[in-house]
Amino acid sequence: MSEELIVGIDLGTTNSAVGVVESGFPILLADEEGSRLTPSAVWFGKKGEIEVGVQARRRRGMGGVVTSVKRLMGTGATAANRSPEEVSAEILKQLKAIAETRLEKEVRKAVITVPAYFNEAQRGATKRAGELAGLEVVRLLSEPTAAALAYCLDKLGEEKRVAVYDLGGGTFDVSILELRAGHFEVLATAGDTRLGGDDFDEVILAAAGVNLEELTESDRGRVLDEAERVKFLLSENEEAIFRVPFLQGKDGEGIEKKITRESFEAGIEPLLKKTIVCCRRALADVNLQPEEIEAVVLAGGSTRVPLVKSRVEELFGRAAAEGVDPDETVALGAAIQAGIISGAVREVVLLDVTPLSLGIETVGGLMNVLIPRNTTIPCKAGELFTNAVAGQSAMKIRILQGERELAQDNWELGEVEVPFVAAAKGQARVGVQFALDASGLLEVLARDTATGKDTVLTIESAAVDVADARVEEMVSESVDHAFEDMSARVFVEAKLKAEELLSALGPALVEVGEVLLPEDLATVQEAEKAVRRELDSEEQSGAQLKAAVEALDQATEALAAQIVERAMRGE
Amino acid sequence: MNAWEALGLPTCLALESEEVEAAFRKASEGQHPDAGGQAGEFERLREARDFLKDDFRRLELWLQVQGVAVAHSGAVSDEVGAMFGRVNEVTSGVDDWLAKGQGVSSGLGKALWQKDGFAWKVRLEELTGELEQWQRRVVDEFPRWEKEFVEGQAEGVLSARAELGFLRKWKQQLQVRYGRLWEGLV
Repeated sequence: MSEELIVGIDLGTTNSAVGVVESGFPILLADEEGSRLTPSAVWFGKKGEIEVGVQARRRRGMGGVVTSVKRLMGTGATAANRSPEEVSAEILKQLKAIAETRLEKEVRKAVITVPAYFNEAQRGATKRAGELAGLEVVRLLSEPTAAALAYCLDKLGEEKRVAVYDLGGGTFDVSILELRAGHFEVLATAGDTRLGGDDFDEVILAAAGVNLEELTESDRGRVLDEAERVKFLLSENEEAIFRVPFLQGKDGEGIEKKITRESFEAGIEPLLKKTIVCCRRALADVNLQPEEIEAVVLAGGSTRVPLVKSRVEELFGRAAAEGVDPDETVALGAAIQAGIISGAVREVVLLDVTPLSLGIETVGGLMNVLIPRNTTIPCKAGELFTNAVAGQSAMKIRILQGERELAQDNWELGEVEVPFVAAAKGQARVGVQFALDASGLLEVLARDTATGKDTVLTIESAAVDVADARVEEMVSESVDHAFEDMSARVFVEAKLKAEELLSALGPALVEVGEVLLPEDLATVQEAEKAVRRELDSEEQSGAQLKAAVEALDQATEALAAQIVERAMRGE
Repeated sequence: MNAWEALGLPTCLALESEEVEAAFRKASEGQHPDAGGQAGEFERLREARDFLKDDFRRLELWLQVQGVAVAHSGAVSDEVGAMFGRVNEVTSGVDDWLAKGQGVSSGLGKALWQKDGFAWKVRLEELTGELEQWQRRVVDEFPRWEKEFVEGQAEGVLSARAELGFLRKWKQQLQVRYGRLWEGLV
């Protein structure tokens, strides 16, 4: 083989894998136990020992084990006193070692996949993790794009519009791609970097009545393992028993609870709705209707949940593509991209897009978009800056990523300082170029228009921890509420809902009232009377009004469903 | 080298997006950096393609090549004026509808709200369709404007430019609303 060796790596929230192209075909490399998936778990012992993968995962609950570190990438958070990059680097070192053992060659270069919706900071952190592991990261590849590559490799002659729905352990992406004569072009992408199978586990925990706060660390590990086990069981069975005996935190008492698939599905429904909204947005961005998609590819372990699969198939009106292993497809795609770069795969060209708009803050705290989302990368955009006062030597520019109008609502990537030569007001001119490379990483160049000299500007990272800020906000909100008079507050809230329901009831009965059986109509009318009674009562009891309103809300469920049903059909 | 020359196409206004795509494939073969090409070259070809596939930007570029300076002011036709109002009605209607959804708390209230949303969806789709047909009508006249321009008549092409500019902006506004609408409908 004359090509240089480049491996493809899927660095996942829950599992990771490494692959390579051999004789034109992508394959995954197995560890000594024959496993192609390495759990993304790292254990840091007290004496400096480090274990990765299955062994580390087994130690969960014994202290020093980090899982789902991907969720922390690009934030200022730490785990086991280490940065997310350092923890991820340990996983990458392990994958590098697996590849070197299997291939009997040194591995120096890699393509690493990232969620399509990762921002610049999260991508940069992933690249640094690779470098810490001794790998040159030749490309960061979007996970859904990788999945599409793997799916389409044997269909290069076809013309197809493909949607990839990628729901992993911690992140969600959807991408719309077009395949034509070996050209893969991503048209649009959307997603949520904090939504995945981990959230499904939490739904199970809630259904089992588990409060993680009450448990000791070792109990927590066992409980999380059990939640995952029950989740897997519920993909095959209608119900499963959640059973964890002898919890230390509960004086040796255990938990045993039957969880039904129905309750699990009800719990994940709001999460799935979020993903469907993303799909709709991606479709709207490229002006396509769901019916115009010709193949649907599922990636990520969470798509094994039957409800996930059926919601996606419902949206696109077609069955998901067969023969795709959702756990392996992303790593296979990474291997293919590695092969494209090394020359081992020919006749495939890949064009990806940037998931988020890139811009700068302007006067008044607004976001001025320079590169809109879904622009094909690599790409660049320029902006001219002039000095506002005579003799000004520099100005600072805040660089932002996101879709909101106000600068403060977007991610701040950092600041650059644009240097000016001393000149009268408005006379010093510097052109600044913002370039996104094929990995979606940003480089900022300043060009002095007088001298034509280019300088690379350093981006001083903002490193604001978005997650922490949000949690803090939520906490302070709930404290505020605690000091208010509870019953009065409940009454006011319930009254608003009561008024909304009562005013909706009349038109609803006129419109779809005929679907109710006489006895159901009577129930609705009784519930309505009860609400009116509570509203007029002298007591003004918050709890009683709330109960009456909830009863009416329930009694009118069928009416509500009928209205939406008809509206959807366009009647 | 202008965008047409870059893709090996004659510098003409009437151009279907399929033709542009085919020319791009041919011109870009082996040019992608991953396939051993020059980084800047592929990007330049791709940008040329993106420009030429967009009816409005293609027209702008064509005028530039012809050396026509376009004044950005000018009277707006009645047809454009009327559409302004209709687009505005729908976009602000959808925005208001989305804002109203924040306060809905009951199942029945939400159902009635969603019903309004589906009505907005239909209006958005119809209006978008209308704009697309309008654009098709303008683009179908391209050969005529091109011929008139050569004969010294620039009026047609300039009014087409104004219309396409508005159409492009309106379509974008409606598209954004269409994407956001689903936050309430799903």
